[in-house]
Amino acid sequence: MEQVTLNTADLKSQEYFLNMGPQHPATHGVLRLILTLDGEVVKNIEPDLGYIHRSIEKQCEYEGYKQIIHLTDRMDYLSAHINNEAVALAIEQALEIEVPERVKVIRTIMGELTRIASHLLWWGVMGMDVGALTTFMYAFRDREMINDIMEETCGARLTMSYSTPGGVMFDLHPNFQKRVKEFIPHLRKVIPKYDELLTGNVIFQKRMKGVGYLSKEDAISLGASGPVARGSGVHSDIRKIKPYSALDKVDFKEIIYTEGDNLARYKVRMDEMLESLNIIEQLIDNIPDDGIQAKTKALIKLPKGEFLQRVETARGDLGVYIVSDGKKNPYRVKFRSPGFSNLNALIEMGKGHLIADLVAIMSTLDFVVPDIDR
Amino acid sequence: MMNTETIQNKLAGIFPELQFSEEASQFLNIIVSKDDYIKLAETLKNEGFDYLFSMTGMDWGKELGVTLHLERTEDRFMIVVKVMLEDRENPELPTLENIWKTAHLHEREIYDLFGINFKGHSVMKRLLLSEDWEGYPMRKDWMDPSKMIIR
Repeated sequence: MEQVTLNTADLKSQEYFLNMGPQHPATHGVLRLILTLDGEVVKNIEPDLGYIHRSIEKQCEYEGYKQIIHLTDRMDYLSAHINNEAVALAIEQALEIEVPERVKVIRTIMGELTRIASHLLWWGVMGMDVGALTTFMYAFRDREMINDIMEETCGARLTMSYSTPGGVMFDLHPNFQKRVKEFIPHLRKVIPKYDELLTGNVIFQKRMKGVGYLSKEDAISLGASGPVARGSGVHSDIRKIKPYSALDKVDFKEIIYTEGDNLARYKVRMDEMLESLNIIEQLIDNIPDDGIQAKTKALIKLPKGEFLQRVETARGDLGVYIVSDGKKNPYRVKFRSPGFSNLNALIEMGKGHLIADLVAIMSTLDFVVPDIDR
Repeated sequence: MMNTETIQNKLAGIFPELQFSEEASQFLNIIVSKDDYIKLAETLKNEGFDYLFSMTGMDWGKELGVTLHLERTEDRFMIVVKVMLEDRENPELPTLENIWKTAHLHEREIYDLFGINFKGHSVMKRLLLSEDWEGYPMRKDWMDPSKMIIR
C-alpha cells in the first residue's frame, strides 16, 4: 500500500468572519462581536453595540433631576442601587446637602447587598458558561434572599430607585435587620461549598489559569476598572480611593490579585463577597436614627457648573458627570460606565485565544449589556 | 504628589497658549486648541496621567468638543482637558488611541453621537447606531423625528 505523506507546512489557512451574538447565550444580553478567525483562533474582535441602546444620556437632558435616578436603574440593572446612589450623591454634591447619617449607612448596606447579589449571579452564569450547570441553581437560591430583603424595603427586587436626592425613598422594613443577620451566616456557610463545587475543580482550573492574561499597564491604559483591574494588580477600588456614604467609617480590605488571568478575576469577586459581608456586619447593628431625608426643594435646580461623582459598582468605576447651566434639566449628563471601558480589555485579551476561551474570558469580565449600551 | 500648581506651571511653560480654570469644577480645567491637543496628551501621559477615566462628547451650542477626565493611578490626582472645535460641518481631531488604548471605543461613541471624526483611528465607524442613521443625535440642534425623546 502506498503511504500518503502530508506536509503540514504546505497547508494554508484562510481568515474568515464569524458573528458571535447578538443572540449568543454567553454574551448575557445582546452584545454582538464580529470575530476575525483563523481556524478556531481569534485574530481580531470588533464589537457592534446598540442593540439595547436607549439613549439614556439624551433622555436625561429632558428630565428633571429626580427623574434621572429612575433611568439609571436600567443601565447596570444588577447594580441598580449603586447607580441610583451615584446620581443622588452627584446632586447632593452640587447642592451641598449633608444627608442624615442613617441615610449614609442604609445606602452603604444596600450597596453592598447589591454587590453580593450581582457577584452571586455572576458566579452562577460563570459556571454555566464553562459548562457547569449546577452553579446557576445554587447562586440563584442564595441571591433570592437578597432580592426578598430588597423587595420588603424598596418595593422592588431589581430596579429599586431607592435613593433620592437627599435621602432614601422609604424607611427600612422592621424585618430588615433580622433578615440581613440571617443572610450573613448563611452566605459565609455556602461560599466554602461554592469553592468545593467549582473553584477547586480541575477542568475549571484549566479553563481559568493562565487564560486571558491582562498586564497591569494594559489594564490601566485600556481603562479597565473594578474586579478586572484588581485582578491585574491595579489599586482601583473607589470605595478606598474616594470613600462615599458610610464607607469611610468601616474597616475593609481592597481585594487585589496580581496574576492578571481569568482565575485572578474570579478570585477577586469571590473574596469581595466575603469582604462585603464584613462591611454589612460592621454597620447593621448600629444604624443611627436621624431621619431618612434631608430637606430638599420639590423642584431641584443645580447651580451652574460641572459635577463628577464616582462610585464602585459591582462592575467597577461608574462616573456620573453632570454639566449644569442652572436650569431644572441638566445640560449634559455622561455616564462613564465600567462595562464600556472593560469592553476595550476584551478586545485586547481575546486576541490569540480560541473561541471557547473567549467565552470564559468574557464571563470573567462580567458584562451587563445595558450598562455598555446605556 | 502632584498638585494643581505644579502641573499648571509645568504645562504653562511648555504650552503658552493654554487656558486654565478652576471655576465651578472640582478639578483643574485645561482648555486646549486643536493644534496643541495631541502634544498636550503626550505630555500628560509622560507626567503620569496614565488612566483616561472618560471621554465625553460635548455640544456647547456654538462649538463641539471633547472633555477628557485624566487621572494618575499613582496618587489619584485628576484633571480635565477640554478641546473645542468651531467647525460644526467637518469637526476633526487626531485620535488618542495610541496614547490611551481605552480611547478606541470612547472615540467611536463620540463619532457616532456627535459626528466628530477622529483622524488615524483604526475603526472609525458607527458604534451604537445603525450604519444608515442620519445625523448625530446628541448634538443640541438634532431634531427627533419620532418624538420619542424630545416631546
